Amino acid sequence: MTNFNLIEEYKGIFVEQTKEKLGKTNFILDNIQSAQEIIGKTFLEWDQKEDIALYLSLFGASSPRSLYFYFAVLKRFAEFVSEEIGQLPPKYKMPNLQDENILNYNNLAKKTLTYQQYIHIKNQLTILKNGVEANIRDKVIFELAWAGLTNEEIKLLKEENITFIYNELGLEVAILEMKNRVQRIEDLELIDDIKKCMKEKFYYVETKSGVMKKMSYREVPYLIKPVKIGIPKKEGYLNNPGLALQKTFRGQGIICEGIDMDYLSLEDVRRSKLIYLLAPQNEKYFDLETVRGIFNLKTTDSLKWLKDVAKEKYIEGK
Amino acid sequence: MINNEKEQLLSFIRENNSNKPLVSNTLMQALQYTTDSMKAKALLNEMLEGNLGGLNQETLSFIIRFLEKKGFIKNIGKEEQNNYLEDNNIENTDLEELQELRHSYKILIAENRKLQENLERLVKENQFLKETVFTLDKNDLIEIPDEDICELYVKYVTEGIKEYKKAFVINEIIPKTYYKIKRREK
Repeated sequence: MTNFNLIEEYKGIFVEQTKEKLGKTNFILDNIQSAQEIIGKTFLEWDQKEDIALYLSLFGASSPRSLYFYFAVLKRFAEFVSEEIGQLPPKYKMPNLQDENILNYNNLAKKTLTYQQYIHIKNQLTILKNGVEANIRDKVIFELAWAGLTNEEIKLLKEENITFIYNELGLEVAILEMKNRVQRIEDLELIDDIKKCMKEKFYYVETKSGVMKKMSYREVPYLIKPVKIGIPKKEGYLNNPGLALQKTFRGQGIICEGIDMDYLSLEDVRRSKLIYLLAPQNEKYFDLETVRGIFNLKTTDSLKWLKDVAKEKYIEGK
Repeated sequence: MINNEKEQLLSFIRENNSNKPLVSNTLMQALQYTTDSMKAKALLNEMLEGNLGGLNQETLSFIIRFLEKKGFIKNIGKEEQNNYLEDNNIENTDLEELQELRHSYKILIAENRKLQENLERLVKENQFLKETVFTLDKNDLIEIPDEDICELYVKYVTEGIKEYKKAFVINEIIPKTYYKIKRREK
């Protein structure tokens, strides 16, 4: 049984029945097709770890998480096709995902910020309007991601769930209460920016002709507010803070040497902080268990490979 | 010099022992220039206990410069103590300047794009001109017989008709001979 056309035959019906996203699925199925040609076996016959490793290496992925996703789609598709043609689904063997042949460490480096790079970008996000800081909202999104919040957590953070207290050293601390956890913010600048963001009334957008357009924020209970444009959404929150920030990166021409700003996501910023904490010079203060706690992870498994990445990124004196 | 700086820092902490928030806030602000807040907090705790082991030379010097700027300790004025703030362009966080730079960067990018487009257009035109060399060839010369000219002359004067066979009227003139321009596809 060597039918290399299985993908073409079942692609449409698979997408339709499983309601997978078309573009993404097509991209993955194309890679299954290419891997078939290289390996010389149909995807239903991939019985070696090496077969799966080769398939995954075609994505040039920079995190095990995306590799798990590509693996899962392959598995779902194989199960689907097997059922259609009436045979048992294949049992795929998962290779070691941290293998450097599978993970693209170069891509990861282009999406990993050091603390200095974080400060560099943060400074560029500060814009002045008539001598007053403006568009603090975007800066806060970026800072909150560095503080360890996910896109979803930033989106749903309500002002009423932020409390400011003073700790035993007399330093101001912001306590953010989220759905499943509580985060302490001890970054003085971020605390200040959160307060300014709460008071901010307008957002400035530079039009294509270079004119600054002043827009009001909607009155919503969330810290990160959408601007008044179009029909208001029932939920009230800004749909995708990460996307809004990426638009700002592009609109303001924000640059950072060694970093691919066009594709820098909030997840990358958050992971960068994680890598920073895992750097060898910070080992004394942050062991795997502490970092796991800060980032609300179930296990330390996913941190082990990032520790290796941190070693590379923060070589002595860098 | 390291010992000297360490002593300066420790004496700042000791002297202001009664005002903990002042010491903590000042040191935290200084630390955050080079260190993330989570690590800064850990370092601050150690510093307040008199342990400066976690600070590297760079951070230590920076804190001293910061305290000098804030007027908490006297500037010891040693040239060799590099002005960390200036050397590391910390002053450049001057926001107005940063915005100005960003603005000029954008203008440069736009200008560059325009120049690039102009260049591409000129290259295309040049290529087209190169291919369009015109040489006179008597075979291409179109000559109108006298009878046709006479015929058109009468038609033009009486009926306003401007073309007859290969003859035509242009600016009140009927040319006897002419060349046709042959256009090539771009």
